[in-house]
Amino acid sequence: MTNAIELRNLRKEYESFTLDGVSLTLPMGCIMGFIGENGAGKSTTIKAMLGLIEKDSGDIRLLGRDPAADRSVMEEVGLVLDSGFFPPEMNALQLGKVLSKIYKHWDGAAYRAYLERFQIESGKKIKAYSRGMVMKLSLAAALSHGAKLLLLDEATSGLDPIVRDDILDILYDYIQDEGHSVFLSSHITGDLEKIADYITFIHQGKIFLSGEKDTLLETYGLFHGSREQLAELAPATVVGYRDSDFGVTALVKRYEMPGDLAVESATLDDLMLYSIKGKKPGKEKI
Amino acid sequence: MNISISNQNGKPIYEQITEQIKALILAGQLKEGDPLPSMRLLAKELRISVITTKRAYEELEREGFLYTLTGKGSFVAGKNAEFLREEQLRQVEHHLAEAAKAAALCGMTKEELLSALELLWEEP
Amino acid sequence: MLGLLYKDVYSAKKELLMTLGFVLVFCVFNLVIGQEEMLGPAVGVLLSLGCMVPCYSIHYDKANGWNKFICASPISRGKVVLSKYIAGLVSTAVMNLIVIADNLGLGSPMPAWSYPVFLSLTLLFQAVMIPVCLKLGQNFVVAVFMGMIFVPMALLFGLNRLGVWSDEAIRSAFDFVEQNAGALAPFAALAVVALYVGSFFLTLHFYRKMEF
Repeated sequence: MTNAIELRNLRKEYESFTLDGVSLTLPMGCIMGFIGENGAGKSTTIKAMLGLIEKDSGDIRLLGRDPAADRSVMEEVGLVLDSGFFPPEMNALQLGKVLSKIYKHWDGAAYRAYLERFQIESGKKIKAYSRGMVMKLSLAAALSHGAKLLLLDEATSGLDPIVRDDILDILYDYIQDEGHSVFLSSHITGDLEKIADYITFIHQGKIFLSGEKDTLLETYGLFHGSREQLAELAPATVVGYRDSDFGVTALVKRYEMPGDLAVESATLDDLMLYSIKGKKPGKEKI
Repeated sequence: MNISISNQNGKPIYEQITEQIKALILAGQLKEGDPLPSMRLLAKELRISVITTKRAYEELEREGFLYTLTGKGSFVAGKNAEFLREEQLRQVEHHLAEAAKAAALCGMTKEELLSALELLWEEP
Repeated sequence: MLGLLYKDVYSAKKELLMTLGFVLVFCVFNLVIGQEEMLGPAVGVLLSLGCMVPCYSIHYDKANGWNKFICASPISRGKVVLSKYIAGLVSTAVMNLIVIADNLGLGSPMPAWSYPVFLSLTLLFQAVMIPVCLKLGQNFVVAVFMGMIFVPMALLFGLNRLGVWSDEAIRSAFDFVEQNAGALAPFAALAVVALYVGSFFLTLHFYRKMEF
């Protein structure tokens, strides 16, 4: 079965930042969360996928096709970015008319239904929308042209928890269809902890952790203990540690830990924090 | 079907699901042939990943608690549930035997063991 | 592509209506006053506005992030650029028609051969300004526009004052052009068309390379 997204060794070089050999795969019908701190390369990766920036090298396949060679694949890709991109002087209905001429399979009825569900006044000019409404409008548009792949780039940052929950609800509905896939980048890991099937972590332009979310959260855990206990662990077991008031806290591989040491659950935030900022045993801070 | 999952209790979520579904079946609240919600719908209701529910269902199917018909969904399996209730009883007996052995080792009396069991039974 | 033009109309409705209103006022004013001297500036204003329409569209797209959307849509970048040039052609046609109507209304003080000249001028200006607007931004467009008008005039006057080109030489040059207008016209027309087409490809090249 074709994958929804396939990236192989994607490379893009800028003066101060390089996207260095990014590879990831999103199977069809699944949700992948793309996590990284600001400036890690999330937006660069997504923009390369969409064709907004030109890659230096590497392969990109969306729904099995190369978007640089075959623009028609974008009929089936919906996007929501972190800022609005619709003309502020228009209203939602006029936008619908414009979009109906851009997408072959535009579904006006679905669009109007989403406008109603999101309580967007169709006669109101876009420049008068709140940030949450702008996002919802982009989402409504993205969901109304038969998209099989949704790409969201930091779509939920800056939104209050209620709107974020609304958006998650919509994504859950979207994913009920097995042919639909979602790729969302965020640094709000709480959202992803629930909904994502796969997680990929990116840092300074490189992927450093990727896999099924459940497996990741089971494989890694937090260990609280003394420095001596930490020293006794095999270095490969410890991903990174931080000093705490009473000793150290380390992110460890659960199954390689000695049986008598307690390991508690780690969150996605922990995975990111300890991998990036954690000290490695035997080495100085990275 | 009432399933609740907790992120706090340390057990993997798919295990919580399989346990609760097994409990419902063994208690008779889910009977043979009853349809179970689709993996995707369950994921949506519980606000978790589809892969988790899929794993839970696959495990339940492996253990004979449910079967899946493509295009139709998943349903509670019949006879096997009873069979596995017996299996569950055997597990309980096994654990009790272990407890008895451990109690004997540290010199507990039968009364002490029974009152300990009483206390544990009260706990949620 | 129609969608892109729709978008331009919807989003610039206010500006378009204002411009149209302004234009109508000017024309009516002219016709009512009946002063032929006003025709010159009126023509100038109309043609300038006609030139600027695609530039406003490009500027507006940049300011709103629309490019981020349209370049991630099934519409090719080539079609986007084409839509700007089509908007340019349409606005040129409209403005020139208004000029013709105004002229006829005043009893044709301007000869008929001035129409293709105005048309060519508008297209010439657009051909230069569209790529400038895309690559350098709206501020440069205004600067270039002024430059294109004043630099040739300044050159002419400057050379005249410096004595390099005497009054008779300039007059004879103009006479030469007027006499041979019939023969020169097709070449001029061809040059303008070639320039317009060349401008399209240049803009396309710039747009293809742009990152959003």
